[in-house]
Amino acid sequence: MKYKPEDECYLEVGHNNDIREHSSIHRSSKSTDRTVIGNANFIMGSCHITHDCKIGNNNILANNTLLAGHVEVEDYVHTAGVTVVHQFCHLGSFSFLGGGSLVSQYVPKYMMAAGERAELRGLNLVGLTRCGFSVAEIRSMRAAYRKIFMCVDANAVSLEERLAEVEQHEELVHVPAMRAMLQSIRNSFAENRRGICKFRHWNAS
Amino acid sequence: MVKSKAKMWCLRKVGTRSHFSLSSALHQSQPRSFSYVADGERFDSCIHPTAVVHPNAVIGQGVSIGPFCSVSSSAKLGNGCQLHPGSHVFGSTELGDNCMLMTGAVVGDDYPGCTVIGSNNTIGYHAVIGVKCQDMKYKPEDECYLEVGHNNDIREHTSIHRSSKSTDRTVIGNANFIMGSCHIAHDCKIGNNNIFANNTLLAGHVEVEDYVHTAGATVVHQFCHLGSFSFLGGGSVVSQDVPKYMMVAGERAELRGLNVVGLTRCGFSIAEIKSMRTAYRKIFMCVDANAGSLEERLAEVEQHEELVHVPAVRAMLQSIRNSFAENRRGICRFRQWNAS
Repeated sequence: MKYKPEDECYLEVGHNNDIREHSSIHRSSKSTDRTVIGNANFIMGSCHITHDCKIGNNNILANNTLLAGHVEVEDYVHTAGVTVVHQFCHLGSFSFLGGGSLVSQYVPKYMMAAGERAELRGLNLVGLTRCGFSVAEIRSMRAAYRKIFMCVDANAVSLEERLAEVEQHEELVHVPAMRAMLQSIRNSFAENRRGICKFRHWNAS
Repeated sequence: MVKSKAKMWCLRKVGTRSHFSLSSALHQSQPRSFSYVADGERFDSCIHPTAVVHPNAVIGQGVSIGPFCSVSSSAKLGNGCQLHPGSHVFGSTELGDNCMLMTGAVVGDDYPGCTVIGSNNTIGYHAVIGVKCQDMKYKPEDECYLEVGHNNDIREHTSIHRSSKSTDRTVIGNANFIMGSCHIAHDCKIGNNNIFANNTLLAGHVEVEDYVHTAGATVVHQFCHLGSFSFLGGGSVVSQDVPKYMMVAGERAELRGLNVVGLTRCGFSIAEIKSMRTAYRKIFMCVDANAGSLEERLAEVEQHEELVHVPAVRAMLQSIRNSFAENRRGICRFRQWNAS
């Protein structure tokens, strides 16, 4: 809505992308920003990528995926049909968004989100396996996910403390995917970010 | 008074003609009722000079091809087809009689395989029909197929994809109303007389029986099966089968009772609907604290000496049972009323 027709606006698209029928991709909203799409993305029919989005590589956006302004999509993200992503949200690498989801907060790396106001639904196990992560790596990620998001301890500490605990874990800390996951979660709590998708506390009853 | 009205009419006509000179040749030469072929009468086809029609294309009688259209070498157009300006027929594609392609419609694709469309179909503005699928396992050298029956209304911005491999087809039957911006993916099987509201998305291998009605922005998961006379609420995400005659709605859709409005409109009698309602309550709304399993409740309805003689009830039971076959996704969730 703040766009001025006299401003210069930019769109950059990389190589080997498949952009299917009825999709729309918009330029940036002002001269100091760009809409950027990387390489080897599969953007299915009737998708919409709006001003100032940043799309990485090897993503699959299913039909009618709508990305609002300034959305960032890392790599190997997979959306199911009619996924709607709120402005300024960030989709971490290897994440999966369920069909019909409305994503209004960040999806950390490797995770699944689904629902009307999407919530975390565990790790994207199918996607991780297909992308070549080893069984050991996935097992470590699963252990970390449980420690962070599925704590059943009645004396559960804050998310920050659980993240620190995983960082001190002498086995998990050496797995690069693990460190990337933790960093992805921490990044979501930076000052200008929207925080991660809600997750259900399992100790509530 | 009469004369001045006639003059105004003439003036408007002249203005119209001068403003749209590119299409005036087509309009002037177009017979008034060219889609009507009477006994012994023949009408020539009208092809606008800016259209590109391959000499090997097979063009029926009374065909109208507007400005800036293209028709491929392997295309066959039936009698009375109308291609509105800027519509295109690519690849190996057959259109039956009296099909209409609105402006910007694209039918067919230059890939192995073919698209076969029956008669009396309307393909709306900028619809994209019979193009390659979006299945990740698709190989471009494989032959892929789309078959569409007769009397379908496919509205603007709809996309319909061919099959994902040569051993399967995407099939659409007759008299379906596919509203704007719908998507029908590879290997779907669509029956007859269905109504898909705007932005309905059917993923790969979805089967839709007959007289199904979806509301807007319904999303159906791969391999799901929609039973006849069912209704899918707007914005639903349907990830499991919908049995015959039922309504589902919700994000991860759940059963919401019988589609009473749809059943009434389709001519089911009050007695039939009453029986179906009784069966539905026995199966899905059991308040008995000692309720048996779903299988036991189905068996109980099958033993019911009144209900068992109603064909619609037997069809309902069979539809539910079919969803528990080995390769099926089961039926949509229903809320157990005796839980507390």
